[in-house]
Amino acid sequence: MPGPDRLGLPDLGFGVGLRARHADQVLREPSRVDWFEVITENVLDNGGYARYLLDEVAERFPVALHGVSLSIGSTDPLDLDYLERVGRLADGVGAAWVSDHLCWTGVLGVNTHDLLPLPLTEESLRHVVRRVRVAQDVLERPLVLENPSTYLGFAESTVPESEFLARLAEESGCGLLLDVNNVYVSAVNHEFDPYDYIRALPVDRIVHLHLAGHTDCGTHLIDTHDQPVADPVWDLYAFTTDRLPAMSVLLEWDDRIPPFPVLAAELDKARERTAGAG
Amino acid sequence: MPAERLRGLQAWLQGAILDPEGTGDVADVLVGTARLPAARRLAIYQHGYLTRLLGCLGAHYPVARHLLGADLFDGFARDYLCARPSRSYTLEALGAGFAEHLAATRPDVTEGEREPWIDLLFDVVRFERAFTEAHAAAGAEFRGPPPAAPEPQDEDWAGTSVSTVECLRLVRAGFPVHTFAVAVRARHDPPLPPPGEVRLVLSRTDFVVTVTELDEPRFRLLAALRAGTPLGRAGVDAGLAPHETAVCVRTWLAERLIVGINGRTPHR
Repeated sequence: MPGPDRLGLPDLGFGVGLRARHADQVLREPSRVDWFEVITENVLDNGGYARYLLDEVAERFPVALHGVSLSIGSTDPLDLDYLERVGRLADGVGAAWVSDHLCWTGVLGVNTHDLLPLPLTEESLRHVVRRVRVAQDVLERPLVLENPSTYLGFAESTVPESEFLARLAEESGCGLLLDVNNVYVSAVNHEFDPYDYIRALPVDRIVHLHLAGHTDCGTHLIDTHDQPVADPVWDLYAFTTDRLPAMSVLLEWDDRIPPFPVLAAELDKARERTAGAG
Repeated sequence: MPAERLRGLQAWLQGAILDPEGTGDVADVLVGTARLPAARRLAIYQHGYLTRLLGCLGAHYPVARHLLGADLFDGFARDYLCARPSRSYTLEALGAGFAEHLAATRPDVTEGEREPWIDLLFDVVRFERAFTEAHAAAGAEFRGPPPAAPEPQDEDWAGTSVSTVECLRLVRAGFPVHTFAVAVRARHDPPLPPPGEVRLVLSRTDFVVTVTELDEPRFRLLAALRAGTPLGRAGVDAGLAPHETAVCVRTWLAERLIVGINGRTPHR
């Protein structure tokens, strides 16, 4: 197994997304959760409880910022004001890293608030590499980009997504957030082999892993983050962790959010199913 | 594929998501499979877009949604999203123009008679937007102890300006929307409130939004102070004597509606 690199970013252990409804347990009780991830846009302009909770948690646990509006693949100009705000927030709370998605969220000034797929072409790759370099200059830290779950692909695409990510990481210097559930969801939806996808990724660029639940709609899967991790995803996770050095793992559960003990128990499964655990 | 081509594809996909009616044939652009044809793949994004943003607007305007019923509210919300798609990186801003949009498209104006329930709807929407903003804006929780209150006998009392807390919102409404909203949020089904002007002050204590009523002179005083008008002028314009203005300032300092004097605003 290769040694750790992760762009020098730390292994934080096993974490979950921070939720206001779990605040009492998180702040007042011993926890089996090692770190917390916060949706950047939920706190970026907030001067109320969301920011207070983040500050309190950041005093006790490592935290990371996970964005949904960077729109790194859009052909609109990068929002430098947004990036500067994200950088200041990351500095303010001592975020371990700043991540977002390989996607675009809108064009012509509009934000659809969805993580839309890119046509995966050589020109798209050059376009995103250029923008990642700018974003990293503004943030003054490496950007970490997540593979999205997707439901459509473009006829003009010529580069497999795993190759696109590998080359993007190599050429831009960014890190990769490998969402194992997203790989599985996209693999079912686009009929590719999820194991081949993971084999194609550069091990030394992967900074951390995401796990989540999805919904089976019969003809396709939707990345809903509203239920436990599915068995095939656990299998893919075990395969993935067998290939990678120890690294941070994050369980996402964003809808129909369960009580904190249920969340912690699901996270325990990730500990147990990590290759080499126990 | 030059960036212009990428831009064209992005504009096409976004247009297809925002306006499914004008999509045309997608099979030339998108890849489909026997199990999931291209048009159904696009429909996942079209459905997801509307569902997500209607859900967000419904969460920001639960009282308006109750007032209208889910179907009618969603209809208004769809019109709004169509006319003013989001241009912000945050969903907090999604509903910022909803009241303005409703006013601009008010159906009863073009039909002649103003219908009272639509006046109530506007007031509810403006109140709920103010509530959302008061919840998210900076409050006094992060600030240090309040400064000492200035008194009318102090030198240049009349020229003193104050700073109000960022989360302060002032709403003038033609119906008691605050009591109606409390009842709806408590999952009661209150009758529509009768008309009656209220002047509401929304702020926050320990991260909980508070709503209080003021009389006309004090509401005007607080609005003027919030706009930066010095104490003397603001009091005169509101029809209050200096000692009445001074009492208001002391009260509002204690309640943390006022957090600074002459630009000095202590932070924690």
